[in-house]
Amino acid sequence: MPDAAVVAFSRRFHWVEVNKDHGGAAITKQFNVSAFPSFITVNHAGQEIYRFQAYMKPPEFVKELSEAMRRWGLFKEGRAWDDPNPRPSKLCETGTIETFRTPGSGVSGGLAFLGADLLLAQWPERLPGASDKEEETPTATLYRLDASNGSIKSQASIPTSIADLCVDGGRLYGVESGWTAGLPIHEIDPATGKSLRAIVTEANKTTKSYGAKGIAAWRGRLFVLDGMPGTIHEVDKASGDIVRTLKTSEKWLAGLTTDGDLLVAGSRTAIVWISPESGEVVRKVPVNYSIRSLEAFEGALYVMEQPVFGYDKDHHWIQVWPRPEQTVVYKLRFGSVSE
Amino acid sequence: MHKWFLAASAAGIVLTIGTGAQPQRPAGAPTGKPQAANSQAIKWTASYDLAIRTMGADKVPVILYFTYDG
Repeated sequence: MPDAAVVAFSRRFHWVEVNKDHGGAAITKQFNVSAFPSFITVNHAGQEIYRFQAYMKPPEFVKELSEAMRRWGLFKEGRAWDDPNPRPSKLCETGTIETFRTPGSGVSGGLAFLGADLLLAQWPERLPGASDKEEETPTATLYRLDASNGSIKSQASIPTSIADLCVDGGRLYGVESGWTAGLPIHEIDPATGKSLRAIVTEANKTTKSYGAKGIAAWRGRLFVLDGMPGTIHEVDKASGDIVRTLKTSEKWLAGLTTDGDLLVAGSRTAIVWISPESGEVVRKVPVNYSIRSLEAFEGALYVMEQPVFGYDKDHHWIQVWPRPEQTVVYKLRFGSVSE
Repeated sequence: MHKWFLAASAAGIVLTIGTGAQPQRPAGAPTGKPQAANSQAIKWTASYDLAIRTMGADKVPVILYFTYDG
């Protein structure tokens, strides 16, 4: 039985089914739709009033329809309807926060310290995929930054397939997002961004999920984060074999580092400290923005957020939060676990 | 690398090869059309063009439901 509230609210709209595979390919392309199902409220000019996507249960679905109707009301009143919903002004409510601007405004492909320099892999600003423009597959840039102010010391190209970085014994490692599907961890030349050695986990070739979200070296041992299930795998650096797997109590993790004692990961709602022996989450600091990558150095956590994307009124894919010109590295300091 | 993968990865979406940039459906989530979609109770319009043309007359917003054969 359809949910009564969903039916009642749905009656306030005219619905049009656009099946990409049955005559709807052109409109699907026109509206830059790459996720299914998507629901787009439009005005008489075909402008986008509100978009939401993915499967959801009735209460969430009604909430989205309500937001579409609210923005439709703004449009009818001749007011701006496409302003993003506000968000908290700070990444988190505890500790101290310093920031410096990143060289670009793209998505982070990982943070790592090499000596006292901060390495940042950053994607190009114009994102491929949901774009209406055809572009060649781009590369990210591996920046070597002065960690005190973010100034660039050097830079090189690095593949966008790298999800996170770490340094162990002066060697830079980068894990591909597809490590969970058998793609490699690379030992990378930090000067050129080129792969010096590929470490392949053969056992992962039986799966297809692209889910690696972090890599960290803890006391000479390499750990890779499978983000969605929140599992952390210790990987043999020579063979690529998985030595053991830690199951945390967290889901949707991204970014992995170590403060020397514990592993540290980000999530959509918190920064979590994890025992590298048991996987137990021993500390959790709530955050207001989703975390993409992080790196611990000399008592501070250097963090980049997962940008929030959306679509403008002309159906172009845009970065909503942070504003592109406000993309920063956050330098966080929290008290110790015992405080 | 496929561009849809880059886009989804940028957006923090976990993907499975070959399925396009679909957000993963959580366990227990509804499947197929939205619950109201199969109901005769809601107003379906035959085409996008028709919906846009008639929108002005009755001042009801049009919502496009994008799907595919999957």
